[in-house]
Amino acid sequence: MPPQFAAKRLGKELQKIHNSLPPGIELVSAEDFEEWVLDIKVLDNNPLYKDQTYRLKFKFGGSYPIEPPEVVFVKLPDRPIPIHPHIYSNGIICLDLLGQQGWSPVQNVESVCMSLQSMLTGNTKNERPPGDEEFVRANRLRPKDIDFYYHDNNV
Amino acid sequence: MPPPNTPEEDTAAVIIPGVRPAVIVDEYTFEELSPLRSASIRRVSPWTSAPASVLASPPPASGESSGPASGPTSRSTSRSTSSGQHNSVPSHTVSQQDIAFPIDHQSLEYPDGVDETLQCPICRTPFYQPVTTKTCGHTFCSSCLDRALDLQRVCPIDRQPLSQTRDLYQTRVILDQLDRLKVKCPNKGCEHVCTRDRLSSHYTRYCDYTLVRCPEASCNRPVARMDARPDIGCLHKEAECQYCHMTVVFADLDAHYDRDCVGHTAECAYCSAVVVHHRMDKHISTDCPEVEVPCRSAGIGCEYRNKRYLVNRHEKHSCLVGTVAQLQRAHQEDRMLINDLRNRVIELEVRSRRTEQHHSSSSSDNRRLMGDILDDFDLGNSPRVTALPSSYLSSASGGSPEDYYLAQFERIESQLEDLRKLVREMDGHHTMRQLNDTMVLNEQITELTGKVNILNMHTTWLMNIQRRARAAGGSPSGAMSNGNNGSHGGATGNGATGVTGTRTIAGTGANTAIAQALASINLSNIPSRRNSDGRGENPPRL
Repeated sequence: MPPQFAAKRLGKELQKIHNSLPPGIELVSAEDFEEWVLDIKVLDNNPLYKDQTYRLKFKFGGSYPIEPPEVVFVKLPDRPIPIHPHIYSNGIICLDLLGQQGWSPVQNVESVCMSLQSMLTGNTKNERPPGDEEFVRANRLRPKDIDFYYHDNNV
Repeated sequence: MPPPNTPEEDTAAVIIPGVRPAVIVDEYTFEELSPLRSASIRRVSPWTSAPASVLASPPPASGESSGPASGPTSRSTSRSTSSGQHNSVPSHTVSQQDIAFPIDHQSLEYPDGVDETLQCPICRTPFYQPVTTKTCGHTFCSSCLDRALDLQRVCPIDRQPLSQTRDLYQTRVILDQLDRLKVKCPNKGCEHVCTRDRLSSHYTRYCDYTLVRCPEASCNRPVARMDARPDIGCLHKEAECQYCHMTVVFADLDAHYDRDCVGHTAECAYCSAVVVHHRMDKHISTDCPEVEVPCRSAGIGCEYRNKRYLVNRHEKHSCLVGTVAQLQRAHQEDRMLINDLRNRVIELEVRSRRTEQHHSSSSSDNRRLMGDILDDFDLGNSPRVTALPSSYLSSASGGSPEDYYLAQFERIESQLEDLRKLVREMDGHHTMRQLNDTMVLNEQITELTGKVNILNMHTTWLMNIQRRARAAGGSPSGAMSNGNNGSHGGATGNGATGVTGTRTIAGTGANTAIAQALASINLSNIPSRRNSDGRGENPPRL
């Protein structure tokens, strides 16, 4: 897979993002075709996420968009990690869309952001995934190498 | 497109003497230049082999990049399909196989923009060689879908299971729409915009900016087609910049002057603009506003001469000669049109005269009318109009030349309108007359056909009688014996006819047979004879 292909596709996406983005999504930085940073907000009045902004980091491999990008939440003083049964407190997201099986090359940065928005919007549980503390302490793997087990079809 | 030459002829025609022979193509490593993998090339083959698309546009770039991978078969195909147009290619053009890089269809620029429905959801560019899934009807570029299917054998949009080979087809409508997209030539420096189906031929054959192999066989670096000339040779030798004395590859010298060269600018002596050194001549001859130049219409009499920016203003606003020249040009065009129409009218008149010889009744008015107008229009080569402007200008009898020309235009326009009307009228008359003529002829033909048919019936009837008589053998009927005599007479000549000559009038052969057949009509018309022969038929009435 020539990395040019990823760069071309990302170039197109960036062009579109510069033109317009859906409400609640903002581009923070896109210096190259390897790592982009975006901010997302939840737009409805879900008390869990009201008035909060979350920072997302996208890492693209040379095989994008055939293979999924690596997407994690980033913790900063004013950018917490959203609380959600599928988001670990170190920012790693358990979402089948971002795994090899659930990913599809027609997805893009914008659609991933929107999926995450709706994943937060639909959540009512104020909790972390089971075994969060242990996972956060023990995990040294990168998100794409973690073998998630997608059991919950409600999100 | 003329039929393709045989490969041998074609090789001879395409390869220019001095350029390395086509065989060397095999050694040239397109593979590393090509972004397309051979896997996608395999699936592309339906396009290259489909005759319609091959004729419409030369094989897609991937066809060329398949050179080393797919062996001589595909190469000879692409060569023979492209041969037809090589006659018109500029002499320094090299063959298609020398193109250094195939078109990268995913980086093309579409000046008018492209609707999102025509864009591949995977690469987000307008489809290139689209395939549609049979199960769910989603469309992708074939190479994009290949890549996606390598990972998962499902449709990237709705995850329905897909087989790479069986569940895909092409949609003619989409292909046509894509072919019609306006696209800009991908070469730097070329501003050519064409429909997408023509891009490939522009890029591979005509565009001067396309990178091709260096004409020097030992050199492996690409060079723009316009610079790839056997008489100049390799442009990749090193040269020294005459301004900064840096060593630069000769082909890049121009770019070096424009961008990298230190101390390469100079001040224009007239307008004190800072200009790249080697472009100074061009600047002075075409751009510099302070250089003194003559008016553009100097050749036809304007004597104005001043600094360029003033001259430009003069040409735009106040140059009388220029305006007149422009009007004159328009006038000449109109005159050509009128002459053309006039010829047509004359032609029609000649034709109508011919028909008038048959129908002298109705057309005399028309001819008179046309004669009048044609007299009025006799300005084919007449000096009247051409002479007028100068005489008008010199006489200076008030009003401007523009007014004169406007009046002239109006006159010509009304005349044109008259002529058009007349032509239309004549067309009508002509058709009517033709129709009238043919109607009469048609009737006559129908009548004649009827008569011929009746004659045919008679002949058949007569032959029937004869056949029957012959079949009756030695019966003593008059028709029978006469028939025998006839054939006998034909075979043996006058002597034989002489024997039975009492009843036959004509002496020999077929004539005798006919005469006797006629005689038999008479015989059978006699009631008593017919009864005795037991025949029931009557001859058809004339």
